Parts: sequence; structure tokens; C-alpha cells
Amino acid sequence: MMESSADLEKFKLAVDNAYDHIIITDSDAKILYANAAATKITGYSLQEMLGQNPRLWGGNMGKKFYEDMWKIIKIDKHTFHGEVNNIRKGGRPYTAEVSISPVLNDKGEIVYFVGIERDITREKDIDRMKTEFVSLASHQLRTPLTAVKWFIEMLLDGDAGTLNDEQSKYLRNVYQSNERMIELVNSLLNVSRIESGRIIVEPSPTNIASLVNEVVSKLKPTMAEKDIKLVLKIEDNIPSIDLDQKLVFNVYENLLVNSTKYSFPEGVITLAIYKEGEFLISAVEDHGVGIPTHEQERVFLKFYRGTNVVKEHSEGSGLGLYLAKAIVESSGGKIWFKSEEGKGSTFYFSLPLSGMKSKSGEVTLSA
Amino acid sequence: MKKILIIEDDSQTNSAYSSKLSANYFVTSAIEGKQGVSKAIKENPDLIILDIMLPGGLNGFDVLRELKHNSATSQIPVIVLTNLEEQEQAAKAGGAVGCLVKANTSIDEVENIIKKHLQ
Repeated sequence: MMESSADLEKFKLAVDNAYDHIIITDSDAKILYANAAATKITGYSLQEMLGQNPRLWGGNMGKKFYEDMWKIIKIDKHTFHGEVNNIRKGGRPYTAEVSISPVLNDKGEIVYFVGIERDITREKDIDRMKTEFVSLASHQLRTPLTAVKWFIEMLLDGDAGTLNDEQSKYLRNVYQSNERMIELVNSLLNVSRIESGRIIVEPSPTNIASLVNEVVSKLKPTMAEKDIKLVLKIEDNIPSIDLDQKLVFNVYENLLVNSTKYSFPEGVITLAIYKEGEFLISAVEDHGVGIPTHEQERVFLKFYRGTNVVKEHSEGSGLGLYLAKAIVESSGGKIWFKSEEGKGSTFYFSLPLSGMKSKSGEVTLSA
Repeated sequence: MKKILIIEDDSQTNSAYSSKLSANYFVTSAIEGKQGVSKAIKENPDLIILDIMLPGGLNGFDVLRELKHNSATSQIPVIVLTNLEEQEQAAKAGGAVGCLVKANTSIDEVENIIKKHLQ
């Protein structure tokens, strides 16, 4: 008995003094306990909290959010995880990562809920500032890049007199480097758009074969440089699907650019598109350098580039697959791959045949 | 020779426009919004190229609004050429005939769209 009360005291001390906000409520969400961090983060005293509902500082997330939350904790009796915008006593808003777990008795009935919140306002602010910085810096970078681009175009067009072969060759190299910089800026802007959650999703009825043909005709010159042969295997009778064509174009483009870049000269790339259950699957298969096994879990990380390809291909931002994954997942699909170093890779992604859901926002992707 | 007014604060970009266009057009330029509006009124150009991020108190949208609200300039076609991407809808809603992202547009495309709107 002595031992268990000492244990209890130990647990109480630990919870009282934990860094995260911890509350315990009864099954009707009436607050029975709040630790010191809870009073500090919400600004309400223990007396003000006890007997009240956590709506005292919460409840700002819209009906659907709470319906989903109650279903998970009360009906499914599972832990709910989410991000919430709360309001401190006095009106100052804060963002918290929250988890709420039901505590069940022997009969499986809910007796308490334990709510844990971590104030992530500062992390969110820093993240937003980082996104804004990338966006501002990228826009500023575009101005000098534009001037370089246009003057080189005029020189190459002979606007300032005829160039000899060597001069043209050097200038084309400068032009290509500048275009790469513009593409990098576009990729960074796309990443900052996706991360800021301001991206517009505008689905419209899409014929997947014609979309793929558009991507292919854009990439034809790049593929021709390495004598790459592209085989298209698009299943018949694929219905028209509501897709944001700009976003999906970007996914196909990223995957095909990668497979071209990492194929050996005269290699064959196969793009297969077929229905499977409620999804449309696209598979891009190459027989190129592949991804080392121990690096495979990092493939979709931002700025990741394979150690085996960095040596051979210095160009590349490590943003393509990160973007592709963000686009596919925000469209209700999945992206995955199989790969063997020295033999090649196949990247797959799925999109729901029911289409993408539209989302209003402020920005679209860069071409 | 038709007259084009360029409202653009970056001197290199401005110089690129003049270099490309002055063979076929009379090119005049302004490096801030207010100057752009007064030049548009005074010089009555056939077309205006307008940047969005401009110094001097008036940004491109302010300029567009003033141009469209002034009977002396309201009929002049304005093409917005900016490096901000989110502007197309706002530019069109403000009365611009086109909106392009400079870094993603070749100087030949710029000349072609000008030609199209001067026909």
C-alpha cells in the first residue's frame, strides 16, 4: 500500500510537471484534472478549468473536425491526433498538436479522456517564415535571371550581329545553365506553395492519354538526346477523370524526367497506365542506374539525391519526387517504387478514378 | 511606328525590352508607377507593358486601376509581365489583356503577344 501510494505520488509529480499540457476529463468532457503546463499554455487557472469543457480554449475548428474527433475517441475508442487552433484566455491564438485518448474500464466503457497538447505556435511561425523567405527570395532571383535569359536569346538570334560557331556554342551553354536556375527557382516556388497549403486544386474532366501525350511531346527532345525509346501502354476504355491537369502533368513530367536522366543511353522506358479497383495506376519503368537499397527510404525526402547519381549528374534539385509525392497524396492517391541498383527503377502512383477534389486557394504551380 | 510604354523598375529588364522592340516600335519607359501613369496620359502609347512590383507608392495594380479609370488611357491595351505568379486572375480582372511570368517567357514570345494586341 505504501509502495503504491509512493508510485502514485511519483506519477502525479511527473504529470503535474510535464512540459506538455495534460488534462483528464470525464466521459462527458468535463475537466477533472489539469497540469501546470495546461494552465500556462491556455492562460486559465486550475479553478477556472475544473468542471468546464475544453471548449474554454478550443472549439474553433469547425463542425466536421469535432464530428470526426468524437467518432474516433467515443465510438471507435481510439486515440485522436490532430492539429488545432486554440485561443488563450485574453484572446491570443495558438496552434497545438493534440492527442486525445479514451481510458476504458474493464467493461470497455469510457471513464476518462486524457488530452495532451503541445504548443507548436513557434514552430509553425518559423515554418511559415521559411516558406515566405523561399518565396520572396525566389521571386527576387527571377528578375536577374529574366534579364540574362532575354539578352542571351537576343544574342543567339543574331540581334547584335552574327556569332561564330564557338561563340554560339558557349552562349548556348550559358543559356542552358540559366534555364536550369530558372527551373530550380520554379521548383522551390512550387515546394513553398505546396507547403504553405495555398495551392489551388482545379479538377476538370481529363483524358489521361492526351495529358500523357502532352507530357511526352514536351520531353521528346530530352529523350532524343540520349536515344531513349519510350513505350506507352495505356489501357483502353479509361474513363475521363476529374483531375487538376497542371498538377498531374507535373507528376508525370517529374517521373519521366528522372527515368530519362537515370537511364543508360539508348535505354527503354515504359509508361503503363491501367485501372485497378477504384484507382488508376501509372507505372514508369526504366532500366537505368537504380537506387541503392540503403537509400531507398529517403527517396521522397526534400533535396534527396542518390549518391550513385550525384557523381554522374550534377544537375537536379532533389525536389521532383518530393513534389510528386505531395501532389499525389493530396489527390487521394499513393506513390511507391521498386528499384535495384544497376538494373533500374519502376515508380508507381495511383489516382482515384472518382477524381480529385477541388480546393480553393491562392496559387498554382509553376510550369 | 507604334508606340509602346514599358513600366518596369529593373534597368536590365527595361534595357532588354528596348533592345528587342526598338527596331519595330517607338519605345518609351517609366521606372515607377506614378511616372508610368503620367507618361501614359502624356504620350498616349498604343500598348503598355506593366510590371507589378514597382517602387514609388503605386504598384502595378494601382497603375492598372488608374489607367482604366482615366478616359484618356482606358482603351490602351495593357500586358502585365511580372515575376510573381499569382497575379493572372487579378490582372485580367483589372482589365489587362494578358499576364505572363517573365522568367518563363522568351523575349520572342513577348514580342509575339505585343504584335497580336497591336493588330
